[in-house]
Amino acid sequence: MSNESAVLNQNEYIPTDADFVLKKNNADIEVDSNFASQSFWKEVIARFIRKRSAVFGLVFVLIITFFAFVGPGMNAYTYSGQNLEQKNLAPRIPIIEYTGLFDGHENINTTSGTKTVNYYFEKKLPDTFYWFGSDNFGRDIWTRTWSGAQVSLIIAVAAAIIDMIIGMSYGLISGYFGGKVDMVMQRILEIANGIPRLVIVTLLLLVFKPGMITIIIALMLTEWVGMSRIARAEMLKLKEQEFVLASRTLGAGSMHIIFSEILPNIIGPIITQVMFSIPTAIFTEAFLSFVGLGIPVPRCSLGSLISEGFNSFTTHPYQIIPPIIVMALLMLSFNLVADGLREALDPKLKEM
Amino acid sequence: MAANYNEKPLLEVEGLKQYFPVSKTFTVKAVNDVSFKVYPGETYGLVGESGSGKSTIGRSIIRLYDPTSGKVTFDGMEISGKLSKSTKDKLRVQMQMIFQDPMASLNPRKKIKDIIGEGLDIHHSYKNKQEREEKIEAILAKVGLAKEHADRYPHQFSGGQRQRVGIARALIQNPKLVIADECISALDVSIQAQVVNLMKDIQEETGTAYLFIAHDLSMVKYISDRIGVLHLGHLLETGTTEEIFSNPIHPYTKSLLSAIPVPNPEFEKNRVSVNYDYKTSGIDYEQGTEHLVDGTHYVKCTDEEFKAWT
Amino acid sequence: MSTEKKKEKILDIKNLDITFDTTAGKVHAIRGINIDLYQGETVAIVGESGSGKSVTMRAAMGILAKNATINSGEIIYRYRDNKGGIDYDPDLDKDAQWKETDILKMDKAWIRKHINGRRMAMVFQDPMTSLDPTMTIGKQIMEGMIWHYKIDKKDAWNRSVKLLEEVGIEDAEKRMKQYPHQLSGGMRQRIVIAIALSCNPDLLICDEPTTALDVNIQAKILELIKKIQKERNIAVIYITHDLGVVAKVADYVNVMYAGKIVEVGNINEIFYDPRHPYTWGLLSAMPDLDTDEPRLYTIPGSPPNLLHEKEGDAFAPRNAYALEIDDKKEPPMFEITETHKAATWLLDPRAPKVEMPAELKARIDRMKKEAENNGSKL
Repeated sequence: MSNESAVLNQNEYIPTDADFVLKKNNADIEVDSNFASQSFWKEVIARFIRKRSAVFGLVFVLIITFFAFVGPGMNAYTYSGQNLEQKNLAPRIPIIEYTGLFDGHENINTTSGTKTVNYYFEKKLPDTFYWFGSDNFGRDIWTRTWSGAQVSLIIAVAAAIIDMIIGMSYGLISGYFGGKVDMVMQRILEIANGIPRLVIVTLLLLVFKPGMITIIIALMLTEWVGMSRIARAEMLKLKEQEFVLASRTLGAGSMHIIFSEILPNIIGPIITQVMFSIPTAIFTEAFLSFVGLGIPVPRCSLGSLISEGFNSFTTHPYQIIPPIIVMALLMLSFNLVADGLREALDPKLKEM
Repeated sequence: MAANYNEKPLLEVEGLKQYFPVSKTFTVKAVNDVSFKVYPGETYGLVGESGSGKSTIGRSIIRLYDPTSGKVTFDGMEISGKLSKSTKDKLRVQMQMIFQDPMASLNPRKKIKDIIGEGLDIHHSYKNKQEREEKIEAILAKVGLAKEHADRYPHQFSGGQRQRVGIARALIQNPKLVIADECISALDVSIQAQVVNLMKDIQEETGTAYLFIAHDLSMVKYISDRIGVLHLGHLLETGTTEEIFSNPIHPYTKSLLSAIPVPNPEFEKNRVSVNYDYKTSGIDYEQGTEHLVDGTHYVKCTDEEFKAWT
Repeated sequence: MSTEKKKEKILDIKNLDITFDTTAGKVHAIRGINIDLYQGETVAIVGESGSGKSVTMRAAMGILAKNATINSGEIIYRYRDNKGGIDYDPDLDKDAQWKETDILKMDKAWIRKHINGRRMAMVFQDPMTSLDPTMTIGKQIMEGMIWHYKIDKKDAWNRSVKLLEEVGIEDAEKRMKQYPHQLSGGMRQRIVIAIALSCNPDLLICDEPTTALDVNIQAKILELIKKIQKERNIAVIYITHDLGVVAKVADYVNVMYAGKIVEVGNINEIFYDPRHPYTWGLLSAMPDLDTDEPRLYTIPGSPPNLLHEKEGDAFAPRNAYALEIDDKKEPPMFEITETHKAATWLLDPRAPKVEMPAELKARIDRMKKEAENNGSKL
């Protein structure tokens, strides 16, 4: 065993005799002032940032959200303004058009073969620009895409948050009380879960008139089940923990324990679940719009845009591309963010 | 220590049984006909291995479980049956618990001051915010933590510090009885002594009685006035610390005593612990009845066994 | 410990220094430690949680977490080159060729193949989490043997049954087919020991092997490890915070604090002549049955947070015997005897004379007397 662990160097302190006296610290030694300075959320953020895909997802979510609310106002067109004179124009963007891309030309298939046309010149519209092109009724696809994204986002986020509130409360209560309460509540849940979503939505649309609220209700009625299962599982895990028992021995009531002791501890999995359920809701809404049960015209959502674009897909393919890209990116990004959050909030790997 | 044996017992447990039905044909008998008393200001140590039912007893008394049968009297009120609102309120203030796991017993999302102040909040036992703060500060100082700790979260503390927070939470309402459920077994030995010293100091100051549940006999000996030895849900032997340690009667107690580690290498190296196996010992706990040895020293066994052992 | 044979050194940790990169910053967990170990010896590493005792052993096993950086040091592991067999052979050392490697320089695959399990095995604290709940006991014992020695299943089965009997499990055949949850805690720890022994290691690392067990089972497990160690001439490292365990098993003791070894010595030196105030605190915090003082002398405060490194002696803030110099300069290792060293300025000739706490002194005197009465020389 090597003996001297301290290697002397020039800067090292040379002790004097005055240093060899007992310190008079016996009084403050009794108060323990140690603590670690880490905060939980700081750590979560650090772990989240370390995961590159999650940051990428978050950036895209922010960009799309930004355009969803600002994009429709960026040009003079409105989402419902029709101009039948200027229908089916291909994308044309100022400045970029000189590169040959997005200069308003498109290939048209006719019986005599394929020809390249530029309607902007044919219709003598040198100062008109449809950045993403225009649709069958001469509406600006740029404006419609972003306002569609806006509608989809609002629906999805609203549905997810309402799900969270309903599902979470249901699951927490069911899990906490257990026994007969749990039995009855779980049977109800199974029945609710047993009815196919499309049936519920179709029935709902028979009763209410189609619209944003109706779709949100429809999504809410079906999505809360997953949330409540997660909340219940977390509750079962936590309710025998000693800090919950401690609350009980202090005389805390059930509601206090559920909502102020346990709930803050399951916020991690809950947020993750919300983030995962947003893309599901976006997709469901798009699906409903696509089959015609969604937002009524002239309003649009990503789903209804894709549906419209689909009709002219063979002749004017550029009309379907923007909403599809936006939707795909949106779903992917939300999933990436959710994935990153799950890992950041629930680190399985210990650091030491 | 100001244990007062002339007064009425603070806690009286008579024939406590706690069964847990697992299925229709199988019931776990965690606690079987256990009786003991705790006097005001004393420390009663409950010792036994894991699965002996010692933690269950604590939880039945404080009514985290509903006792299957038996009578528990606390401070003159019966607390084993259905609880009236006033009894419950009194019980939740006057009897507190310190838990085993310093990691799990504090809510990770609450600040230390809110954890400690929870009892005050629930029972509205302060007039204004300032009084609450003052009470919390006073108790933090008492358990040897700094004032700045009040605004921190549990994960920022070491095990011993957290256990002190647990003690502060239990003591802030000046309870008459604190049930300490294995409150030192998850700590390092050096920190265990710290916590036990602290508990002793507080007892001297406030006269709180402790029901100290543990499996570590050396610490139990050090803190307890009287001890009960528990095995497989039966209270086998009870008496003052002196009586149990100088004159153990039951073979199980003897084996427990022989296994206590001592920081003396020469002694440890030559020691052989006494074996005890219930299955092969020929003792049937169900047959046993209480036999008085002397003073407050009781053993649970049959008449023949009693003759053979003493 | 009076073996005639020459004892070979099998592990030599030199000046090991490790930091961990955490989200909160760099944690300097191990700050230059030295440990060596010879065949058949038992070394205990004692310290509070967070002192770095487990990290050291993880480094020795080559299983450090990914965020660890080794700043300096060597972990030299010495082994017989010609050792091939799965059975313990008492004549193995006769014409053994000893080879050495620095574990820190080898890659994980090599360590797994040549060191882990085969030459160095670990017994963890909690037998429930170190056993796989979905696998039968038999399968878990056989796994290592089959992987390391390529023996067939039947052979492995028979060897496992024998091992189970060796670690004191009755009905070994029956137990082989059972799952961990069907056994008691003490039994599970015996299984873990059997698994550790299955590949005939030279070195057994026991990380708090008995903290999760009841006192009476604790003693039995320690006796079992001791017995096996004697039979097979295995070296054992105990990582523990419990000096009662140390007193029972160890030959040498390293007391660790905040990533450093603060006192090292043979068992009698540490228990009967401790020099470091931290060791004093550890020793007197353990009540023995004859202690009648109303208060135990304890170490105040709590272990330091290694995120914030402190100048001088890391133990100074909790040390009732701290000197002024402790805040300015870290104490070097002072040699008391050839085997006994301690890192405290109290041992400097210029330091004032400080006695250990009176309670501890009285107890040590009593223990010494007791030991002398039993006929042991100190």
